[in-house]
Amino acid sequence: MSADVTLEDVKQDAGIEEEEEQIDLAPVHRIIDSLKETKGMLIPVLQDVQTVYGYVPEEAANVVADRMRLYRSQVYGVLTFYTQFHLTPRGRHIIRACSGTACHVRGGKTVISKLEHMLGIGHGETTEDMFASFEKVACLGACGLAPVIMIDNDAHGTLDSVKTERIMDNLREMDTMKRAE
Amino acid sequence: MFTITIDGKKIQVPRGTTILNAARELDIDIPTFCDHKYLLPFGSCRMCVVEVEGTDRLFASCVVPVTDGMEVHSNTARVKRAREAVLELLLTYHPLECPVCPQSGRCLLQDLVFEHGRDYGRFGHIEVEKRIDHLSPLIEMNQNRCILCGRCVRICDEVQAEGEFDFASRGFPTVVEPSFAKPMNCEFCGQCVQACPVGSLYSRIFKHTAPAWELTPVRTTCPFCGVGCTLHLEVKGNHIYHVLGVDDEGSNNNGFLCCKGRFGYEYVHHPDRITEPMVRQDGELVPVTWEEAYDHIARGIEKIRSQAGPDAFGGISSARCTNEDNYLFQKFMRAVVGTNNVDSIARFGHFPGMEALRKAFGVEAPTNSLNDLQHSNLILAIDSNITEDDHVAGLKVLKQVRSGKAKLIAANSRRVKVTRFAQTWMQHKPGTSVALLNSIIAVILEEGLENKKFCQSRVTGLEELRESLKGAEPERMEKVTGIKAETIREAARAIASAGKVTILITLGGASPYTGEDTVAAAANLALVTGNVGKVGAGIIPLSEYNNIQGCMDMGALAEFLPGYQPVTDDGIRNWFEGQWGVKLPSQPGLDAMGMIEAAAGGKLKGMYIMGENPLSSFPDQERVIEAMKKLDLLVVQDMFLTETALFADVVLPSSCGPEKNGTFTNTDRRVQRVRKAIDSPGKTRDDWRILTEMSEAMGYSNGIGSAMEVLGEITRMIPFYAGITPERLEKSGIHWPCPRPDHPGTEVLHHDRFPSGLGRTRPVRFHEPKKATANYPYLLIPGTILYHSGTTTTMAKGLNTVASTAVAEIHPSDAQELELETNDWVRLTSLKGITEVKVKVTERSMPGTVFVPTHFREVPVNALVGYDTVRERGLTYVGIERIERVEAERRAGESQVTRLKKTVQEIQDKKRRATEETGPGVSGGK
Repeated sequence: MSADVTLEDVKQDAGIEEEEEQIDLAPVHRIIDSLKETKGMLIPVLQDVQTVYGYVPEEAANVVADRMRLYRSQVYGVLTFYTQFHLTPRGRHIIRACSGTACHVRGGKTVISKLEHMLGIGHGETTEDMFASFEKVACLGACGLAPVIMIDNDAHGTLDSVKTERIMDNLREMDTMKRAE
Repeated sequence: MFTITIDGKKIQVPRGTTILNAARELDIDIPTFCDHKYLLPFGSCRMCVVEVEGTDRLFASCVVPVTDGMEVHSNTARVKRAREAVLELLLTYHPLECPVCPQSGRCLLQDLVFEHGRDYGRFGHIEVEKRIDHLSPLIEMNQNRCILCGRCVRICDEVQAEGEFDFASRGFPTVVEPSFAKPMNCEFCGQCVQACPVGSLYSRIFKHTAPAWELTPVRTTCPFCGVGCTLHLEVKGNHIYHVLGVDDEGSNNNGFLCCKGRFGYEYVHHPDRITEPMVRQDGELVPVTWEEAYDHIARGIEKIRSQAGPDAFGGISSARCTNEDNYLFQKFMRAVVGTNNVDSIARFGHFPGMEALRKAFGVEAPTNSLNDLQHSNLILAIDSNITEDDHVAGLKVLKQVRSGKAKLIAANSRRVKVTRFAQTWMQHKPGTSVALLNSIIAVILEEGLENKKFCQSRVTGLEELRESLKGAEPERMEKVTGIKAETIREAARAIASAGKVTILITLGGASPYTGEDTVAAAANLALVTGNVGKVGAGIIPLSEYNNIQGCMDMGALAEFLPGYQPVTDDGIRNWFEGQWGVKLPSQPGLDAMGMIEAAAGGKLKGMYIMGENPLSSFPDQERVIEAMKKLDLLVVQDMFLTETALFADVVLPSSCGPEKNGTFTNTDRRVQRVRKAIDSPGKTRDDWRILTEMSEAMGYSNGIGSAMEVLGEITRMIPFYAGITPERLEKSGIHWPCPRPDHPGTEVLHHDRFPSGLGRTRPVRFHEPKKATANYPYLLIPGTILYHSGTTTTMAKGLNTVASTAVAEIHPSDAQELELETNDWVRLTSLKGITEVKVKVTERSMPGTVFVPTHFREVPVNALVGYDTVRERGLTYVGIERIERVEAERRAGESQVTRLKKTVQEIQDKKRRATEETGPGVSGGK
């Protein structure tokens, strides 16, 4: 092995992927360090942690519990109680499709099955290439636009199967371009 | 006081009482799932609903406090309908797999369904597949059966301060779950198992073994640590299947137990128990009859006596055996053999500490009871890992501290559970507790914070103490203890102003050989601040042995007859001679260490060792082996073929705690009853019986026919046991001194005066532990872990699934320097010896120290400790010369004990093969 070949290169060549990625926990410590008082701050802290990692990794949750002097099980209880928290890595894009009454009567079901078909995943799942996570939600508060979906922070309304396909194709294209940069 | 009427019955209760508790006082039964005596009201199950007149809705009686004139109906048709609805909803999800459920027969849900008579409802049964935890050791969790009452979640938090699980998820999928659904990794106390009203949490050892209704509970005292919890051994046939903590007026543990008490009973049924007496013939231990064994011993002792005198024979008694066994043992040594050479493991740590208390207060015993902790408003825990060594006592401390009733100051070099809950944690360097305490006293005297009234009226020697503390100011001790002067000053002020301070010290544990000085310094502190002789204030030394106090009380000490009555006192000795009808030796005998030395030196020719394993529990293993090898006659009376027994000429099989009657005296002087639950296996006999028969074989009859008769003799011979009768012990333990049958016992000593008049403060010089030099850069900290007690529990399969081998703890900074990682094997080299052990890298231990648990035979910590270490004050901790990694395959360097262990195994295998050939053995089994 020559000096300028690193272990990482060898692994990459051999197609060995690190099974467990080491997570850098420094940001978690920084989040907690920035607090004057930790009492009653669990949810904001977890939200910040999720912003950093895109989800709440177990190691990070444990650090939060230990540093805030809470039981680890308590933190886990909070994480599993709220739908806003995610315990597994999520896709680069979050797609939420409304399955509320208004969207349902205006053909939301077609949109949802189109999305599921295109992504190849169901509710609460993430595509293997980490492109997107898909969720069905009860209402997005935009019934006037029904049927409606949200991609990240943008709402797309009055959809049908064709429109949905176009939006998704665009998203995929943008994602590929962005990744190529 | 409020007056309340429930179902037509009137009662007056204090403000704040819940309707449920008022009803209980009236003996009105209101069913409930989530309510638990020791937990805060939760109000989740809605089973306890009642109707309150003047309101139109139902109230959950467990959370509603009474109001004056309240009229409650607990049994109306509407209430019944509501309760039926709760059951109906629970049964929608709860699987009716009662035939295979370990809780069947004592399941609250089952009982209530029977009572209400409906096993189906309008919603049918909905099957929801939830998790069954097959991975956790000892405890299994079946979430399908869970009714989400939350008792386990709350007991784990409120009582245990462990918080292993919480409610996870939301709505229908809600489950009780450890963090990230991992297998449990907790203290395995099993409080959750006992609290679970249904069969959702249960003992993995118990499941699928016996139905609850076929088990007979036998009330007895736990044989492991010094707390002495009361428990029910649940027995069927000749087998213990299950253990439950007992909560009533006669128990001191509120029904709580630790993992040892709850799951450690398996050692009783271990196949390696020895079941017949053996005598060494041509180098082999050969089974013989009891008579042959007695005869062999009698002739051996006679020979030694005639050749070298009675003082060439010695005996080691047991801190594990009952008071009755210990009493008869010392009587055998003194009255039959005719020597005062009788001692016990208490010599190493516990007795010296008690001596310090005697010198200060006049009595060799803890001043207060453990229950008295509930009155303290400051607890000072010195070198005390109380939650691991004396678990249930630790729960009392945690409760007091977490409820805000007491402050906790912990002085401990290791980061343990108590240090986490302490308001002040002083992580002093190991071996400097005396310096720390001296500094605290110095501050108190310097700042004039002492309790002047108490010092004037009840203390002597204060000037001497003041003189000796010059130079002990915290500023000067900062370097020695490693604690900032200001921290010590603040702690001193807190202690001086608290009012009721209890000092806890674990002896023989974290401070193996400095116990005496630490206790003496602590006694000074208690005297100076007036924290002794009143409720909630005193010193409680704690022990990891169940009956170390009783063992000392019974006179298993070289210089004392039973009841700490000196052998040198002619009057007392004459009285004993009159009672026992023999002449007694008048000079103190050899102590435990003296006997080992005399044996190694060839002066002691024979030894009788009952329920002790000096090879693994005494310091300096090499020297002990040398001593054992030189003996002409070694008698070992034990449950297992211990390492020591391998050197024995005669091995006598004796019964263990659950197999005999008697009493234990726990670490706070509480005498408690031990009851026989099962028969001993094979030809095994009780220790008291062996000793009685042995005496008879040597021509002395002590006229004893049962263990409880021995207690009768004890109460005659020991003044402070005089009022303790078997009848009184049936209901509850009694704290000695109890001089008369109508005396209630004494929880708090020294109320108005000390037995010697005044309390004496004595200067305690601090001997700095020899500096960890370049040659010995690490300090060895031997100690105990939560999951084991002595070496006995390593014979319990279940506990071994939690901790199966010794794991040494090394601080990350040392580990980095030594390039060690968790699970590496290392070789520890001290001046004295070598031992190999697995390491764990953890911040629990201080840099420069290595903690090694003492329970495991394959890692003999005592091989590292030299005798000189113990004898010579100052070098109180053992320096470790080298810590080096050993590769797994190179770990061939066997220690002597590993080899011995193999020999034991070979003998056991041979024995087993022999019994297999002759058909089934006599020992009980499933």
